[in-house]
Amino acid sequence: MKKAVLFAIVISIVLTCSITTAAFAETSAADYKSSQAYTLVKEICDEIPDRQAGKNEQTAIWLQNKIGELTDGGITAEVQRFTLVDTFGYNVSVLLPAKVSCGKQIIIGAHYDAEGQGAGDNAAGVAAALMIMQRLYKSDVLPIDVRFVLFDAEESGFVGSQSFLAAMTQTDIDNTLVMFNLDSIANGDNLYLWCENKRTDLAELITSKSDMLREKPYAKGTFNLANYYYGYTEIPQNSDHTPFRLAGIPTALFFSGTYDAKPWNYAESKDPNKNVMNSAQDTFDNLDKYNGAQFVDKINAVVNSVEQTVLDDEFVTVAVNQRAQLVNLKVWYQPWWARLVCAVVFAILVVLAVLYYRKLQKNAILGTAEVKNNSVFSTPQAENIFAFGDKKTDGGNPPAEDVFTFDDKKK
Amino acid sequence: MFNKLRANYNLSNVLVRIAFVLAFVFCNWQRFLGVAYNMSFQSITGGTLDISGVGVLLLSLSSAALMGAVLMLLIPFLSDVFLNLAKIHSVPRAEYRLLLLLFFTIGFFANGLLNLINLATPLLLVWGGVLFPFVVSVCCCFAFYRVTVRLYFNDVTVVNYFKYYVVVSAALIFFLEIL
Repeated sequence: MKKAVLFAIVISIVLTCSITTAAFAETSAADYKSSQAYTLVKEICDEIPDRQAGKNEQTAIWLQNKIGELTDGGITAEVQRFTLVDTFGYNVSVLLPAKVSCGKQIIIGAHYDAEGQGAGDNAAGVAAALMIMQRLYKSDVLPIDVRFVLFDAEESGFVGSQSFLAAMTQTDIDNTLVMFNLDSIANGDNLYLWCENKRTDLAELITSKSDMLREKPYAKGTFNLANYYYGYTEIPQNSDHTPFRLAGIPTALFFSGTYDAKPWNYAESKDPNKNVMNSAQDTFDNLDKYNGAQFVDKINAVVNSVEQTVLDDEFVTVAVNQRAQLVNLKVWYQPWWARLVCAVVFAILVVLAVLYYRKLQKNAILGTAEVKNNSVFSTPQAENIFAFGDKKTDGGNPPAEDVFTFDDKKK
Repeated sequence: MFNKLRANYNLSNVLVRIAFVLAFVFCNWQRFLGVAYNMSFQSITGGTLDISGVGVLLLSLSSAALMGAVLMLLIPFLSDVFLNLAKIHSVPRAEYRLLLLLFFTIGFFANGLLNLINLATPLLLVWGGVLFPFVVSVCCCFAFYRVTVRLYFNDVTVVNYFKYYVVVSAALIFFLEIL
C-alpha cells in the first residue's frame, strides 16, 4: 500500500512538472516549423504577398475564406468596403457572440495591409488574431461578445480602423470595453504591451498571463509635438488602436521592439537584420532566418495572453473599470489647457504693464532727464592698444647714444 | 575674465554668437528630434528620404544648428528695425544687439534645462512644453528691459522705450509662446 501511495505521489509530481514545463516551454527549434503560428504566417506571406492598401479586394476574400476554414465553416466573415483616396479598402470582420451576452463587446484587431511582404508587420499579427479567433470560437465560456477585425490601410494612416470606427454608432462605442491591437509582434527584441502611460488593472491582468510580455516603459520614446495624436507623439501611437483610444475606448497594443537600441527612441531591434519594419526586407524568409523559433514564441505568447485574459473571470469587471483609469487626454495631454493658463497670466501682465506705463509717465514729468551714456563695453586704455616708446622694449638694441655721437658730447 | 570680455567687443561678439547657436540647439533638440523621427518614419513608407538610426539624430541636430544660425542673423536685424520704429537713436546699437543675443542665449539655455524635466513623463512633456518657454520668455523680457533701462534710458526717454518694448515683446510672446 505504501509503495502504491509513493508511486502515485512520484507519478503525480512528474506529471505536474511536465504539464507546467509544457505550459511555459518555448517552442523548440525542431518543432516550431510545424506550429500553427509558423504555418499561418508563411501561408499569408506566400499566398497573399502583395497586400498594399488599395489593391486588397482579393486579399479580403482570401481572409474571408481562411476564417471560414479555421472555424470549419461555422463563421462567415463580413467585408466592410471604404473609400481610400481614388480606390477602395476592405476591412474583414467577424463577431463571436458571448454564451450569455452582457450587452458589451471587445474588439481584437490587426492590420493585414503591408509595404512589401510584411511578414513581421503585420502577417504575424493577423496570424495571432486568427488563432485567437479560432480558440475563442471553440470556447464554451466566452463571457463577452468579441469582434475580430482585420484592418486594411493602416500604413496609409490607419484609414481602415478610422472607417470602421466611423461606421460604429455611439452606443457601439459606449459598449466597447477594450480594443486589442496586434501590430508587429514578431520581429522585435522584446514583446511589449501598451495600455496607458501609467499602471492600470487591465495591463496588470494581461501581463500576468505571460512571462514574455512586459509593459512598455511609460515615459520612453515620447516627443513633444503639439496637437499630434495625444498632444505628444511616440511611434506606438502610429497604429490602428489610436482612433479607438481617441474615441474614449480603452486600448491594449501588443508590439515588439526595444527601447535600448537607440537612447533617443524606439527601434524594432538592436540587430539591423531584424530592424526591417516597413521595408522590403520584412519578408518571411528573413523573419524565419533571423528569429527562428523566437517569432513563433512571441506570437504564441500574444495568443495565450489575449485568450486567457478574455476568458479570465475578472476580465469583464476589469475591462469595465478600465475607462475610469484612462488618462484624461482632454486636460493633461492637450496643450490648450496649458496655453489657457499662460493666456490668463499674460493678460494679468498686460494690465500690470499698462499701470506701470502710467507710473512712468508721471515720473517723466517729475523726474530728471539726465543724459545716460553708460556702456557695457569699456573703452580700452590707449596703453592696451598702442605701445609707447618709453615703455616699449626695443628687443635689446643698444641705445642711440651708443650708436651715434652727439655734438654736445663731442666737445 | 569678465573685464577682459568687456574690454574686447569683438571677442564677446563671437563668443555670444557661438553660445547662442549652442543654446538654441540645447533648447530645441527634442522638438527637432521628434520632427526628424517622424520624417524618417514617413520616409520609410514614402520613400522620399533615406534616414534612419544615427542619421535621425544628426539630421535633427544639424537642422537645429542651422535654424539657430539663421535666427542669430535675424535677431540683430530685427532689433535695428525695432529701434528705428521706436525712433530711439541714443542707444549704442552694436552693444544693444549683443545684449539682446546674450539674453536670448540665457533664455534658450534655461529653457533647455527645463526641457530636460520634460523627459520624465509625457504629462510634463505637454504642460511643460507650453509653460516652460512662456515663463522663461517673460523672465528674459523683463530682465533685458531692466538692464537696458539702467544703461541707456533716463526718466523721460524710458516712457517711449517702455511703450514700444512692451508692445513688441507682448506680441512675440503671445504669438510664439501662447498660440
